[in-house]
Amino acid sequence: MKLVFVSSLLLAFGGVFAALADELKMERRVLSDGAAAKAWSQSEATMESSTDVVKTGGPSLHWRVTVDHHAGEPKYPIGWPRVSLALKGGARDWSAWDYFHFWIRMSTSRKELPRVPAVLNILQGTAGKTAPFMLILSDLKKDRWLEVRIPVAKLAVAKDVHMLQFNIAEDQYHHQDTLDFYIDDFALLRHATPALVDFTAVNAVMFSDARSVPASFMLSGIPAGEPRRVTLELRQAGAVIAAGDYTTVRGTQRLALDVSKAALKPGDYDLAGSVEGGVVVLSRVRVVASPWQQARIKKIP
Amino acid sequence: MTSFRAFILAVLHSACVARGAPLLFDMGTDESAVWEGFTRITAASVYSEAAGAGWAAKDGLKASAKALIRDDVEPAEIFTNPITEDVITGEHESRFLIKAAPGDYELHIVCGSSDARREQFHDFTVSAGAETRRVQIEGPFQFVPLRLKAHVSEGPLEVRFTPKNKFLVNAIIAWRAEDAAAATKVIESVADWTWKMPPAEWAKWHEDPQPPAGGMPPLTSADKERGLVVYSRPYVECIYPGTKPRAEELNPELRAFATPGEYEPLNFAVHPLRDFSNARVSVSDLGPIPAKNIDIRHVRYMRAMPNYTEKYRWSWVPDVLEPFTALPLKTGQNERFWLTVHVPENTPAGIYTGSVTLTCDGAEAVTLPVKFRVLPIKLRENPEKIFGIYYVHPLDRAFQARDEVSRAYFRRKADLEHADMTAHGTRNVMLNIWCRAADAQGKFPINWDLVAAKIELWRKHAFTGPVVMGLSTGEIYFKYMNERYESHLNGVKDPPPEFDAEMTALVKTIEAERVKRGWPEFLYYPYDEPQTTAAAVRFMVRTLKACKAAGVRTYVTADPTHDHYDPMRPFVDVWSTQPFAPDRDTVLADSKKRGVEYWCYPNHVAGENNHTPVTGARMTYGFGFWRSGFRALNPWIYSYSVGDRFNYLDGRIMDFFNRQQDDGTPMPVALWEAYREGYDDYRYIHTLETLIAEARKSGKPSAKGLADTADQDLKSIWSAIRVQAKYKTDNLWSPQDFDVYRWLIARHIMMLQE
Repeated sequence: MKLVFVSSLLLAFGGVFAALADELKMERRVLSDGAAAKAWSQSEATMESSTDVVKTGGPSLHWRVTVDHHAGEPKYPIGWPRVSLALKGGARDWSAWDYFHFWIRMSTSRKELPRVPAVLNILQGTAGKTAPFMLILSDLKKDRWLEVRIPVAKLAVAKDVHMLQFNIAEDQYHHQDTLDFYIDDFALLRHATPALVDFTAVNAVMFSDARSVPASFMLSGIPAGEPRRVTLELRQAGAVIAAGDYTTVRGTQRLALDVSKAALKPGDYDLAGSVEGGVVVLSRVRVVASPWQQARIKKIP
Repeated sequence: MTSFRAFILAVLHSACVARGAPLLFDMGTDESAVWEGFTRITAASVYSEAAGAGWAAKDGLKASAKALIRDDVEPAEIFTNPITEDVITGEHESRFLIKAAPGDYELHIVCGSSDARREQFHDFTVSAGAETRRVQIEGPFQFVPLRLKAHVSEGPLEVRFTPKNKFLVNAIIAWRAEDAAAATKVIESVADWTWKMPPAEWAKWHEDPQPPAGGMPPLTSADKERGLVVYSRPYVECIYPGTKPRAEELNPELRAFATPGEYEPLNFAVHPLRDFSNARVSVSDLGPIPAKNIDIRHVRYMRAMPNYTEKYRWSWVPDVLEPFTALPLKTGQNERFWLTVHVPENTPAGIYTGSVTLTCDGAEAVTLPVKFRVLPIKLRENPEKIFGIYYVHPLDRAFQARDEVSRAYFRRKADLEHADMTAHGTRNVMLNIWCRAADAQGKFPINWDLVAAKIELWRKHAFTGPVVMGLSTGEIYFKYMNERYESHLNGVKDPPPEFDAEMTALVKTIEAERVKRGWPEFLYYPYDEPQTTAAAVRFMVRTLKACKAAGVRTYVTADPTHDHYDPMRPFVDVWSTQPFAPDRDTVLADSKKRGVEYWCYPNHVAGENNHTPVTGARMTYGFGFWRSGFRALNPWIYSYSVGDRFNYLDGRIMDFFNRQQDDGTPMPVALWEAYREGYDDYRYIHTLETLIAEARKSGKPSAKGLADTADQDLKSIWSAIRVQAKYKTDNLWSPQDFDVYRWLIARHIMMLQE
C-alpha cells in the first residue's frame, strides 16, 4: 500500500490542488474549452478563444471586460458584466463526479486586483428553489494561473447543474479598467481508483478521555451504491493504538473510531485511513490531557 | 350603529348561540373589515340583551384601523387581516359582555395593533371568571393570543380589561366544550394568517430542505423502549429539526470548564421516537454552583429567509434561546436544550459533578451526569480592544413616550439590554445625535438630556472606548440641496460650501458640550457605507474634512482595501469594515505609522443573511480577532425586527439577532452566545500573553522556562488558525478544537500563575 500524507489545508475546498491529485489516476469530462467559446452568452463582456495564453496546451477561453460605469443596463450602469454557459443533456448531471475543475488567470490594466476580482456562480436545481453555489475568486493574482477545484459534494443539486456563470462587480473597479480572464481545462474530474479524498481527523486536537476519533473524507473511485471496507487506525510512533473496520459507500462520509478503551496519553498521533484497493492516508491529531482528570473530584453533598 | 343594524346583529348572534356555535367578535371601526362569521364590535357597541354582546360602557374606548398589504415598492411591516387591521383601545377598566347560556366557556382573545405608535408600551390585564392574564406589548405589529376559562351561571359572560396604561383588543372567541372543534378551526385560520402569512401569500413561499440529516445510529433497546434519544453536540454546531444524532454523541456526560465569573454553555438534544408532552428540564447544583445560576432554555426553530431580502424561500433554523416551562416533543423533531452556567465569583477551583434531568409525560426520566471544572484563574481584559455593537437605543423611545408606564418600560429595557451586553463582553454601543439643521441663529436643536441619559447608562454599565457618534448629515444636506440622497449616497450631488461650514459648526457644538460634560471621546460618523462612485467619495471627503476641522477623530464604514476610497484616507481616523481586511501586517503598519484604527463589523455572523454560522461567530470574536490585528468588533446590530419580532418573513427585511420577551427582557440567539464564547477565548489568550510577558520580566529562570513553553503552544495555536477575511462556515476549526485550544491556554495560565 502506498502511504500519502494528507494536508487538510492543501486539499481544502477551493484551494490549490495538492500533489495527491497527480498521484491518483483521474478521469475527466471537458465541459468547455477555447474551441467552444461561442457557446457562452455574454453581457457587457466578450468570450473568445485564445491560443496566446493557455495552461494545458489547447486554446483557452478568453473573457474580456472593459469596465464602464456609465453604460450597460440602464438601471445599473455600475453593474455586473458576465459570461454564462448553459449546460445541456448529460453535462447537467455531475453527481457521478468528484470535482469541478479549471484554471483561471487574469491580466489587467490595474496595478493590483480588488479583494473580489470575480465570482463564479453555479446554477443548479430549480430556479428560485435552489440558491446558486457562489465562489469568490479572491485568490486570483495578477498574471498568475490559479487552479480551482470545487468538490461536487458542495453542490445542493449535483444531478441538475444547468448554468455556469462568471461575473465581476463593476463597483470593485475603476471606469475603463480592462480585465482579461483566461480560463482553461474546464472539466469534471473523478478518481479512477478507490480513494479516501480529503481525509481529515475532524478534530486536530482532542482530550485524552475522548470516546472517539472522528474522521471525515470522501470515498471516491468506486461505483455509487457499491459498499467498500474502510479501515481507520490511530497510530503513535508506528504502533496501532486503536483500529476499526467499517463498510461504507461512495460520497462524503464521517466515521468515528472508538478509542474509549485506548487510555490515550498526551502526545501526537496519526489517524490512518484506507479503503480496499486504495492508498493509506494520514491525518495528524494532538491529544491533550483532559481537564476533567486532573483535579480531585468533589462530590456534591 | 343604526338600530336596524343592531337588530340584525342581535338576530344573527342569537342564532349563533341557538346553534351552539362559537361566539366570534371582531373589534374595530364601523368601516374596517370583519373576519367572516364574526360579529363587528365597535367602540360604541354597548351591551344589551337585544344586542347580545357589547361593552358595559363605551366611555374612553377608541377604535382605530390600519390595513397593511404587501406592496413590493414599499412593503408593509406585516400582513394584516380583518382581525388585526383594527383594534379597540382604552385607558380605563372596561368590561366586554357576551350573552351566553349558563355553562363552562373557553376564551381565545387576540390583542395587538397595526398602527400603535412605536414608543407606546401597552401594559394591561385581561380577566374572565377567576382567571387573569397580563399582557405587555411594545408598539405595533405584535399580536398576543390569550386563553382563559370562565363559568357562566347567570348573566352575561364577562371579559374585563384593566389597563396599567392602555389596553388593546382585536378579537374575542368564546365557546363551550361541544363547540371546541369549530372554535379550533377558526382560531387556526386566524393564527395562520396572523403569525405566519395570509394563505394566498403563503402559497408563494416554499421550504428549502434542511442540511443533510445523517443516518440514525444503532439504538439500544433501552432508548427504543424509552421512545427518545438523548445526545449532545458542541453548541457551535447547529442541530436542525431533522438532524440525526451520531453514535458517539448518544447518552452523553455534559462537561465544561470555566473561571469564576464566567458564563459557560452546556447543551443536549432530544430526538423523540414518538410524541411526548410536558417535557421539562431541571438541573442540580454543581458543587458550590447553585442550580439557580444555571439558566435553562430551549433552542427555538424559526422560519428564516436565505438572506435578508430574498422572499418566497424559507427554512427552519435553530436560532432563539427561549425560556420555557414545559414543551411538547414531536416525533423525529429535535429539541435542543441550552444551559448556561454562571460561575459565582468566589467559587473555589475544583471539579464538580451534578446532573440534568429531563422528564416528560409518559416516559421514564432521563438523567445526564454533568462534570464541571472551575479553574483558579482571573481572566484579564485587554483595555486596548473594544467589543461594541450597533444599537437601536430604547431611550430614544423613552423620550418620545407619552405616558409614564411606557417611559419606565423603555428605560428598564435599555438598562436590561446594557446589562445583557456587559454579561456578553460587549461594552460599547454606537449612538447618534439626530437633529435638524441649524436655525436662522445657527443653533442646532439637540436634545442634550437624551444624550446625557445615554451616556449615564454607558457609565453605569462601565462601557469602554470612544463613542461612535452618528450625525444627521442628511438634514444639513437637505437644507442646502432641498432634496435627499438615497441609501449609500446614491444620487448625491455636490452641496455648496455652506454645507461644509455647517457640518463643522455641528461637530464643534457637540464637541463643546461633550468636553463641558466630561463625556468620553466621540468618533464622528457622518455617513454609513458610502458607495464607491466618484460623487459619493467626493462628498465623503468634504464631509470628513468638515468634521476634522472641528479637531475631532472620524469613523467611516467602508472597505479600506478599495482604492476608490484613496481620497478619503487623510481624513479617516477609524476604518470600520465588514471583513478582517486588510491583512494583519497592513493594519498594524498603518496603525503604527498614522495612528489609524481598524474596526470590524462582522455582519456575516450577526444573522443578517444567515442565522446559523455559530462556529464562525466564535472564531470571529476570539481566535480570529486575535489574529487579525483589528482593534474592535462592532457588528450590526443588537436586535433587528421588522413587523412581528417572531415572524422573520413578514417584513421587507428579515429579522435577526437578539429577541425580547414581552416585558422587554432580552432573549438571546445562539450567535450572541457564540460572541461571548469568542470574547472569552480572547480573554484567555490575553491573560496568557500578559502572564508570559510578566514571567519573562520577572528574571526567574523557572518562570522564563514556563513562559517559553507557553509561548510555543500559543504560537502553535496561532499557526493553526486558517486565516480568513470572514470566518463564517467554511474551513473553520472543528467545534471541539475551540475548547481544546482554550484548555491548552488555560493550563499554561495556571502553571504561570503558580
